[in-house]
Amino acid sequence: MKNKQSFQIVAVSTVGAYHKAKGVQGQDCFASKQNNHRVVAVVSDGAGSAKYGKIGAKYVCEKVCELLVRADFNHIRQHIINAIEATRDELMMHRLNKTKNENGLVDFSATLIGAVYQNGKGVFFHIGDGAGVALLNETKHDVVISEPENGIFASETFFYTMDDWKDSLRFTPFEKADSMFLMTDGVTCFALKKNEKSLEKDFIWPINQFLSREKNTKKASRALKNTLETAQARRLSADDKTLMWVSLK
Amino acid sequence: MADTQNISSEMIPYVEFADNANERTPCVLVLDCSGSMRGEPIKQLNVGLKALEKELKEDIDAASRVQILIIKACGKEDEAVVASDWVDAMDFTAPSMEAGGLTPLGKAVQLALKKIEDQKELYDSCGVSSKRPWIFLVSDGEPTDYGWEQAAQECLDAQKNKKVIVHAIGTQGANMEKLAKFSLMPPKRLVGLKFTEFFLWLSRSVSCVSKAAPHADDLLKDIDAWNEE
Repeated sequence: MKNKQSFQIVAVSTVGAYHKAKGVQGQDCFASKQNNHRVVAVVSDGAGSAKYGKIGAKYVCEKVCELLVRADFNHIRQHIINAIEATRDELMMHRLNKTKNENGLVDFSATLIGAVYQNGKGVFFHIGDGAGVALLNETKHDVVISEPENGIFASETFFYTMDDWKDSLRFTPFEKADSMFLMTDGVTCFALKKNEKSLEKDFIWPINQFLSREKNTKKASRALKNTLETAQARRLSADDKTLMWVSLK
Repeated sequence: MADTQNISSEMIPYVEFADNANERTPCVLVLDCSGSMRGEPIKQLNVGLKALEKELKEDIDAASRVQILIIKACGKEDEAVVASDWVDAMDFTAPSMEAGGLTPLGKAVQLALKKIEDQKELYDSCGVSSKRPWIFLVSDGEPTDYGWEQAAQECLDAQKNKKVIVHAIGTQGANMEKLAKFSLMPPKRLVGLKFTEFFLWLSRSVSCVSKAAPHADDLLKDIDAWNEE
């Protein structure tokens, strides 16, 4: 039996200028869990237009992590679907859901980008915008990206709370990654190129290099938070920004 | 204190942020600020511009996608001047307009067409795509400058060549017949001094267009808040 693997994780969430100006809390959430050789990480962006978007984001992050960390990896895609369904079931019975059925889920609208990784094999699961990035080889700059998905309008996206959420659920497998990032759409606008299919070269890679070397997690988090709160980052996006980094080595 | 400073200045080195490469929707406001706008009309226009600034900045997408240029037609010398040069909506500060002089709408739209052409060149050189620019021509009177008909024809030609979309808006006292010569679409009439309603509608419309997929349907609807049939 292999030794237990410990995954280093750094994640920060900053409140965007838009929500700061309105005096409301950020709508992004993140969570992670690890167990022996497996790590599960999830990031979610509660829809600003939804009454309880933040709750929808928090529930899916926590529930999916909790269920997937002990699920059978051989059937992980089915377990991911089950975990999302379990979250939806919880929200149907939530005290703030007046209808106590699917119709009330719209108030909890949130996107979902997550990943499960174990023994060199991983898969992103994704509904809506935001992105997942697996860095395979630093010297060759090989990456696998789970791209954002938008609707007809740039601001329109997909949520796990929609009736037809299964149509929007995408899986992107990857193998032998050194590290991975999960991010909300407040970060994708400068982490990804305009076509949203490749990385801006001077954003993700320097962050990966810094976090890989910085063993003090508190210091790493502070530096990441400060970086996401620079005037330039605020200027490029007024949205909340969440970025999670997981070392998979 | 020193520790706090160190903590707040801890940054990840070598990180560079890409420029805002969002597709832009250029929007030009050509505003009649002639003497007849003195008093309540110019006051309401300024209130409306402030509302436009606030509304655009609060729209996450529009803030980085819409670019604004304001040209005012006014002055003794039939001047058309840039009151606020091209700027992303997130950086837009509503200028304070003053009324006085004549109404050189011809010169103002010619300046608008020239500025649009220059801006398009800039977009192309930076690899930034753009939607078809909008010009909103707002007047409470009629053009007074020599050769305005030629300028109006240039406006029509630019629209026929799909280089621009022109909307003419007349407030009380405007010569709608002459304003109609600047646009392929019939001019609209503003009810009373509902500049704020008009600018809020403009903000939402331009925001909607900026987020729309290429070749999306006409999104200029719901003008009841300010339009007089």
